[in-house]
Amino acid sequence: MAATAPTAAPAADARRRPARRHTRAQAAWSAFRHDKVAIVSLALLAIVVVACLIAPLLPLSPNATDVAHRLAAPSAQHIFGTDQLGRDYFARVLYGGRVSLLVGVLAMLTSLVIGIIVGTVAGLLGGIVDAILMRIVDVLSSVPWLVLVTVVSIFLKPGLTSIILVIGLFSWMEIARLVRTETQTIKERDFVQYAQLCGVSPARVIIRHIIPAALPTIITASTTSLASAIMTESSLSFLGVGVQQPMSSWGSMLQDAQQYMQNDIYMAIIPGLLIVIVIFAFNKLGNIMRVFADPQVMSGERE
Amino acid sequence: MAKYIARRLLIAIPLLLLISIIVFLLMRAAPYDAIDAMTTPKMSEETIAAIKAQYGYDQPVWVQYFAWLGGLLQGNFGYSIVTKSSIAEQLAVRIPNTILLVLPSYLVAYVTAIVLGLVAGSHRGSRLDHVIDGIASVLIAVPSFWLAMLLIFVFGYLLRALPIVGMQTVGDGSFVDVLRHYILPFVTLTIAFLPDNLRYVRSSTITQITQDYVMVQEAFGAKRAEIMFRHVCRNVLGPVLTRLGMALPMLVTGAIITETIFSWPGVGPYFMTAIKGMDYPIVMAILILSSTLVIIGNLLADVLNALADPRIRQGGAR
Amino acid sequence: MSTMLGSEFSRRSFIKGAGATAATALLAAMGISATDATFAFAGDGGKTFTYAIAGDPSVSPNVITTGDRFGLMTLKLVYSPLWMYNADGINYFLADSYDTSDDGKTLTVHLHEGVKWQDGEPFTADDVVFTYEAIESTETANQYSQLVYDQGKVEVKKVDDLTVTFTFPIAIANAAEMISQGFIMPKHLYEGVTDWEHNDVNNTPVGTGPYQLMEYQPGQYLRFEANKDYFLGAPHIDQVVFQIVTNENTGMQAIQAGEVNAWIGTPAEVQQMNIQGNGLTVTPYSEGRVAYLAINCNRVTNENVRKAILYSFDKPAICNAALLDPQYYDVEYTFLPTISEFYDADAVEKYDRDVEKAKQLLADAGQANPTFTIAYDSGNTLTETDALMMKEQAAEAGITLNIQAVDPTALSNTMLDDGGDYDMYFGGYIMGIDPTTFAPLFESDANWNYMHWGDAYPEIDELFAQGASELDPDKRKKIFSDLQAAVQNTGAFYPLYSNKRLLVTTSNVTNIQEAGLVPVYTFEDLSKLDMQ
Repeated sequence: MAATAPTAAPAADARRRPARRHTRAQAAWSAFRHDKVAIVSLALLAIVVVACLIAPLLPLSPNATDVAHRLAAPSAQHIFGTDQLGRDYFARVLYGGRVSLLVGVLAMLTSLVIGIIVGTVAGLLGGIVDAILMRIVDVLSSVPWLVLVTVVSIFLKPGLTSIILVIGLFSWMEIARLVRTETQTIKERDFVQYAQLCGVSPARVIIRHIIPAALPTIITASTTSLASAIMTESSLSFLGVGVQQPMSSWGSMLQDAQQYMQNDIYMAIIPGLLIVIVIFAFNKLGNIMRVFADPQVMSGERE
Repeated sequence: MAKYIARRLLIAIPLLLLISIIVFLLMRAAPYDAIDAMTTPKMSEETIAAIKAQYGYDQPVWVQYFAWLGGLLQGNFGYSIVTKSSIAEQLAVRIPNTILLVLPSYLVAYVTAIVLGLVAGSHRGSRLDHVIDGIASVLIAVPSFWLAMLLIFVFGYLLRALPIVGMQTVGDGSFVDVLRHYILPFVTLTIAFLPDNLRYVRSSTITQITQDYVMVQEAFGAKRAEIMFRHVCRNVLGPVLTRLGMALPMLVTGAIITETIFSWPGVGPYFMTAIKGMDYPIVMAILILSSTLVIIGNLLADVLNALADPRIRQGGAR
Repeated sequence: MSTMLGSEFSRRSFIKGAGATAATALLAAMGISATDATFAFAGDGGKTFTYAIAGDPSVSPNVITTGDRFGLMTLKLVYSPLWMYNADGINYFLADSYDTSDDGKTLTVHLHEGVKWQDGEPFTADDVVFTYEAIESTETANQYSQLVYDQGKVEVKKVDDLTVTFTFPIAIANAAEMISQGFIMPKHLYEGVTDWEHNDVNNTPVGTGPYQLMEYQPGQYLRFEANKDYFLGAPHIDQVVFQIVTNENTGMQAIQAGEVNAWIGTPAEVQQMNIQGNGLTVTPYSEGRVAYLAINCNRVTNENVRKAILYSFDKPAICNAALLDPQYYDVEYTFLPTISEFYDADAVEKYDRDVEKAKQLLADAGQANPTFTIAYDSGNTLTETDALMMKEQAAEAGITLNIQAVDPTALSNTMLDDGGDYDMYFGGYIMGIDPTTFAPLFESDANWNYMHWGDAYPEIDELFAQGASELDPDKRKKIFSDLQAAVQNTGAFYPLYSNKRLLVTTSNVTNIQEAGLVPVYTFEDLSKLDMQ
């Protein structure tokens, strides 16, 4: 990024960008192609996501109880076994995954919006605004998230919306930091300075110029943010302050599984493994994206 | 230097006051108050008024705030709504238990992370690096509670090798017994703390190694070990050291999940019970305590940073 | 009747529904902290009985205001009551007998001779009078409503050192039950204490009971040592430890590993365990706890719609899903527990499942396919299962039930108020032996009438009043049968089951029957329990 020639005219810059994108994509693709772990994990991620998405179309009922066949081990009929009420665990895992992924995506979008606003405003305006905002970021990111999130959850009615909001509200700091740095670089460029000189409003500058330029960074950050949102949700649900019955997520399924672990360890293994796969894959994806965002960095070299 | 620290301290105090006001107002705004918990509909007006007076809820809000703040400064954190017990006394027992668990596991994770991170970073791209980085990226994706569950299943249920409840067996309580209880939560926490630090050390090592000065030194024929030890290590460890300061709040709230799973009698289960029972005074006390540690931790990090980098002392820039 | 703080209600006590009571520092003042904990005690090779309890006792234990299960269990070891009154009748402790006057108003109690407090002071009638007067002057006292009536207080008088009279302002049929269970505190130590919950005496309790509290580590354990001079004979076991295990799963593991000697489990948990392989014994016992579903009449105003909902449920299937095996529960059909001598299921409408009838009732009421919200206390797996089963069953009658998990404290508050946004919710109670003790749950203006039926059913109030003043046993039986039928006819109260508590013990624990299993305290007299 910083390597952009300072003398390049806006037009020239614009002309050059598609070409750069192309090489970036190529770099990312080649990084991906040579990383077997990435291929396998992304393939698994794709399978999990697709299965969760199409779950309602499948002949599965996650809520049909069958007490006579409770806690049945995995078999041909119930490939993941059944839970304590005889509900098909495969169906529950898929429906639980929908909740986990939905919360992850929406919480990530929430934190993205806040992070971008704070980051661009701080980066563009600088001075006292920047100092205050960054101080807030510092403090917020060092207060233990679990404490913050649980405290705030007291004030909200339990439900999906609150969990999404709570996670989103306390996970935007990293994105804000990245976007701020990016903004500081971009605003030095001629086309942005030119726009500002022409009296274009800061909001317009942000939307028209800064965000598009910072997009690769934002996309990269969002995959990492998605992974951590899924992790946060599952921890909260595991502690019993997240998703509530009758809805269940992978985290709350693990909470239930605690009680049945001794004889029915599959109940604990399956949702946990899915969490690991999904988070691992999103982190991998983030690393590959990073190559795309910043070709100087080879896969996974910088946090 | 003293001047720098004094200035940072002066900034910290209003910040702490601000936090205390926010926390206090938050709890006042809570949907369910302490009086609701202590009274029943059958009580007479006088009894309810007497209870309010006893706990100071008949005073104006600002009087209550200063009374609460004054109490805090004297180490009186108030009483639990649910159990009516003194919060300070509880914390005095529980915080040491938490520290006993968090401090050693954080330090072990920290030292391991530095060693592995330096090794991996300096042999970037090698098989060793791939293995270390691979382990870190897998561990980062493993929820600590799931890891704890697996450990409980294997060592508690399958092998029956280790106890999984609490800190000691009552009636035994020998050192060996405490140690046996200690192993699983300790391992869980160490693994939970490790990958973040490891990746941080590894990536800063890589950043350092690709710096021009290393190439220059190499060009001048310096030995690799010498470069690593003399320059890279020093430059990597500076920021890593400041991370230690930032980790201060961990001493209180660093093991909430792990403690809850293993029934470790620390702050974690106390906090979770308070959250679920809407026991605001406890939540408030822990929130204040951890934000204070955050501020102190940041201060500590800044000071460490300043000590490591003389330029900051003069400029005062962060 | 007594303190009531939640959907869980007990005459003797309020018992936490979720079981997770927060920790308390009742004896932190004893100077024990984790840092200076000496990790060795009981090195004398004596018998130690370790009982896993699910939480700390709440409120520094005192005989006046303590009302939670673990607080009462602690008190039961240290103090003694005059007598216990449970389903099996009266069991005397500090009293040897009592006489009732002809007008049924005065009880003359004869105290046990030669009882000493654990500090060596003699126990006398003065202590009894002191304790009961303290209760009567403390509105927040656990037993306050048993001793103070609209017509006046129970008058407690010392006749001589070993005789006390209790004079009730009105004749009541179950006077002996009203003064049962209350623990007596030492006058010579508590005289001058004004705040029952915050004082130094609570920290080093001195009672007349079989054990003395030696040590309390908040969040970890309470340790008791035998009172060799216990007036009913020296305890068999030298040391009792209440080990605090808040996590159910860790508790399951602890009993299987023999880390604790006794633990209370749910059927689902017991089924998971390797009972035989670990040489464990399971002893189910009834607490007479009735679990029920209450329909909020403020929101579901039509009686026939309420009945339609009840006809859509399959009670045996719900019980079976929640509690797995009929040996672990009794299906309940009236507000009285099946163990009550007045229980009469034949007199009441049982609402056996009838989906067609449910649909018909709804159609007649012009409310086909209605939607309701059913709330349960979050974290409670039993009510969660109940709710899930009900949702599925009601759907077959075209009724949509939305399940909502609510924080237990928040739920019991809205239930007390007007039921809030919920059309129905779960609760449970352990009341007394006499049916009149259930009045606070069902009378029209009763504070804890969670059905909120207002003045729609005056006949229920009348029957409670008749039952209280009637002294003839046969007539009482008839009155209470009618009462049970009247409550069921509201269609708002749906008793589910009376679940047994499963006491799991290690093989070396003996004399469980001699120690007696009773509601709330688990053991009626722990001094009789033994170990090999």
